[in-house]
Amino acid sequence: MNSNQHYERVEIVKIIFQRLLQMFLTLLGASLIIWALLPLAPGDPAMRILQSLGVTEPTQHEVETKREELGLNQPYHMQYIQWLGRLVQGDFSESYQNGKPVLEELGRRLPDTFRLASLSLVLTIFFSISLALICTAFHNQWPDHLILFLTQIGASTPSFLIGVLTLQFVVVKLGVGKVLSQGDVKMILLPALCLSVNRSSNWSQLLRAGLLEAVNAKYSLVATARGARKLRLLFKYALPNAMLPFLTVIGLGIGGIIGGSAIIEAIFTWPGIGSFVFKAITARDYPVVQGFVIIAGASYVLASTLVDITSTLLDPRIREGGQL
Amino acid sequence: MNEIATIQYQGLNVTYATGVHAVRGVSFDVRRGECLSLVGESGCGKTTMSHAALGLLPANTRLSGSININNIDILAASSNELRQLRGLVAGFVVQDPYAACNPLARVEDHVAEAWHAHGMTVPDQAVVQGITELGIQEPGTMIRRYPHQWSGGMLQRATIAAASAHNPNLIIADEPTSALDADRADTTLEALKQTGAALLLVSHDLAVVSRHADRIAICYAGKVVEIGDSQEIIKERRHPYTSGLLKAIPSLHEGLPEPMPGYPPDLRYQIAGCAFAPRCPHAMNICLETPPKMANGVACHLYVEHDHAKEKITRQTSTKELPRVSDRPPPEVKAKVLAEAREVSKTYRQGTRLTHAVRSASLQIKQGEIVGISGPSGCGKSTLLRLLATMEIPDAGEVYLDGELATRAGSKKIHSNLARKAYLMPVFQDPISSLDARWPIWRTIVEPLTAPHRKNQLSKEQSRQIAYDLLKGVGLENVDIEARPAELSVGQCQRVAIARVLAAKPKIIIADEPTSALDVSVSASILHLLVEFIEQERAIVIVSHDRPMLNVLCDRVLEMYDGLLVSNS
Repeated sequence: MNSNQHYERVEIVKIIFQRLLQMFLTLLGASLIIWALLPLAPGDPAMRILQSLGVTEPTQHEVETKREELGLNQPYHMQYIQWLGRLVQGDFSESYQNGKPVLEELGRRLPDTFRLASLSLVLTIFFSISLALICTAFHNQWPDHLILFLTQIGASTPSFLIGVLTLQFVVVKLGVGKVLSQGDVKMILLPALCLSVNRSSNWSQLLRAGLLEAVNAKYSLVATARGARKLRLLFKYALPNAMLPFLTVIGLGIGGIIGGSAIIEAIFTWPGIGSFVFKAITARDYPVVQGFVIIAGASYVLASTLVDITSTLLDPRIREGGQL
Repeated sequence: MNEIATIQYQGLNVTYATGVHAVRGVSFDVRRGECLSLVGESGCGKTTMSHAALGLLPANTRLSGSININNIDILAASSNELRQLRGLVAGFVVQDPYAACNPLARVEDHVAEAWHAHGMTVPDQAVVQGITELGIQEPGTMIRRYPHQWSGGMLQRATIAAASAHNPNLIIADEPTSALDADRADTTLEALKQTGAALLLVSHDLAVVSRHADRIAICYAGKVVEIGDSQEIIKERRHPYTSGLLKAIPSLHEGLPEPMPGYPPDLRYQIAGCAFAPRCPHAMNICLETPPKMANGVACHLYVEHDHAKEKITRQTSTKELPRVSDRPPPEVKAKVLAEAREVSKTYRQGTRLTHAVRSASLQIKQGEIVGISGPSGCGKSTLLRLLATMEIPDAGEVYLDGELATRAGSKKIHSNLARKAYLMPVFQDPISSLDARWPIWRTIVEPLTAPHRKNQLSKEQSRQIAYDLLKGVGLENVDIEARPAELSVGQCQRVAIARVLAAKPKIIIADEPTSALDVSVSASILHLLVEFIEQERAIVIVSHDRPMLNVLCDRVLEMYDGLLVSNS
């Protein structure tokens, strides 16, 4: 018994270590791509920075000094390493719009976005699990058909449309909430709901399919034949088995929620990262956009690594050293 | 008789939502402490009968008649009454123990579910005790493991312990042995009988069942056609279907098994007379008109005195003269060696684990020879075939085809291109997945002829003609060559797969469990097709876990165990 458990534990540590290594490599790869996209911005960076600092017609000498300062005269790999070094130290360079450090600007708005995104994620998971459970419990009966119909509409309506419609009809016509929420915590529910409609519709359909597969599996038939009630079947057998693949879906969706929040934040004037980046994009403020992409990418990779590790811990078959 | 019946079926009819009339008026009972086995081929309704007893059929299924357990009619019982029977009065065991257990729960939890499902607390040590009673070593350690860490035979015993936790009066076991190796089947059935419950055993394997069941009920097309003491059934073979079934089983019949002509009826349609009449060698006019009644344990007009229409139907028998194994000349001692494996080994690596699939095996295949390889699952049989077919490169040793070096350890190159020119052709276990589901069967059959080394370009008309001739050769002249595999039965698909092999005109057929996905009456005909293929310059290698079948079919049978090939004539 001990040797077996010991073996299992060693395997788990090994798998977690592998996943962390994979995460590190993915982040490195992502940073390389983001860095390589930098020169796509029009114009000479040195010139751009000088102009953003208010020097409208810089001299040749000033540009050269700035280039030297930015390390643009060095070979590409050195440039990348220096850029990465600055990034790791938290230097995301300065915003073109107001010359303030990007990380500081983003960091100020991050908590608001985090609040909105996490509430939206919780709502999405709650809705998709409960809707999928209702569908499975009443498979091929009217609640199932009704939910399928509604989620079909929800899944095919983009978030921004839901946001605009909610603003128009719920906020303006019914007077629920405010047009300018301005980060008021009490006003968070409406944007969070709007952000979760599309995704909960998609996810509940996916989870419904997984639950139905588990309910029709042989182990569920055996459990029924041994006297298990329908509810026990759903919660003890079907849900855990259907949740494992669903975790991967959640992991992939977290990145999407952060990205998707930009438009909803702009619509509801929620002072998060999203509306800030939305403005930065229209103002062509590349350092801000880049900083946002780095943060969104990192949180995406982090989330999927967490999900990977969680499913490793939950599924005994993967723990044995199998592949995901 | 009524008092001692643990479960009693009376005139049970089951019609699925698809319109399939799966069970057509079945009456029988299982007495206290008795083992009754429902035996029949796929689609005969035996599983439906067993599931009906615990109310496990889909909600939109139409049932009539009655099934009584403990004086409760299952068909009329409320869901609460059913729950009081399930697990407490009647236990349930299914075919595949791995599928029966929740993969995320420990085996301990699976057994404990017997109590938890009914909201009871598990008595102290009950789980360990139940497992120990069925002869599992180190039960304390084992139950903490997950199902996939158990071996199939042991896990099946654990599911039996789970099903018999409340000492039920009745255990319903649906093919409890067919996912297991042959030597595990006997111990599993012993374990089931050891529980002391009346046993309703569903099985397709008459050979295994005849050793354990007290009584056997032979099922055909949703009816019980013969029922009685198991030894008498085997000995007297009264119903023509029983007799045909027995002739198709190698271990219960001398010589090469005999196939049964025809196919079971489509149960979506009404059947006027006896369902077996179209396939029956003794069919009479009355058989096509009136369904026979069960009398003295057999439902057949042969055993009833009739005033009229007793004359036998004369049928145009198109059955070909079948070659017998004994008619085949023995392979010449000096026959040419078609393929040879010299001291081949193969090791698979999964993570840090090594599996020595084949260890230093040597094998010669000569002209005109049928070589059988038998052994339990996981012994390396299929890997050896893959090595021989040069689909894998050995880790040690060499493979020769037609005297030329084909593959050798340490070189990734395939030295002989014979294997690419259909020198060997495979027949697989699962015929449906070995055919392209989207292609009409004629295209599948002539596919080997489109290989680049064959110079002759065939027109579509030529291809279809070739396919038609080959289909005729495998006894499928009535099948549309435009049909897709899904429109055919499993047995017909296997014939198509063999037609494809014959199209390529290989020297060696490599058959990996060619009959184990098939019903016995069908598998016999597949064996005949294989034997027909053998002419002096060809050979067959056939891998199977069915030792009796290999014994009657093969010139020599090799035993494989844990990667080692043991010669054994």
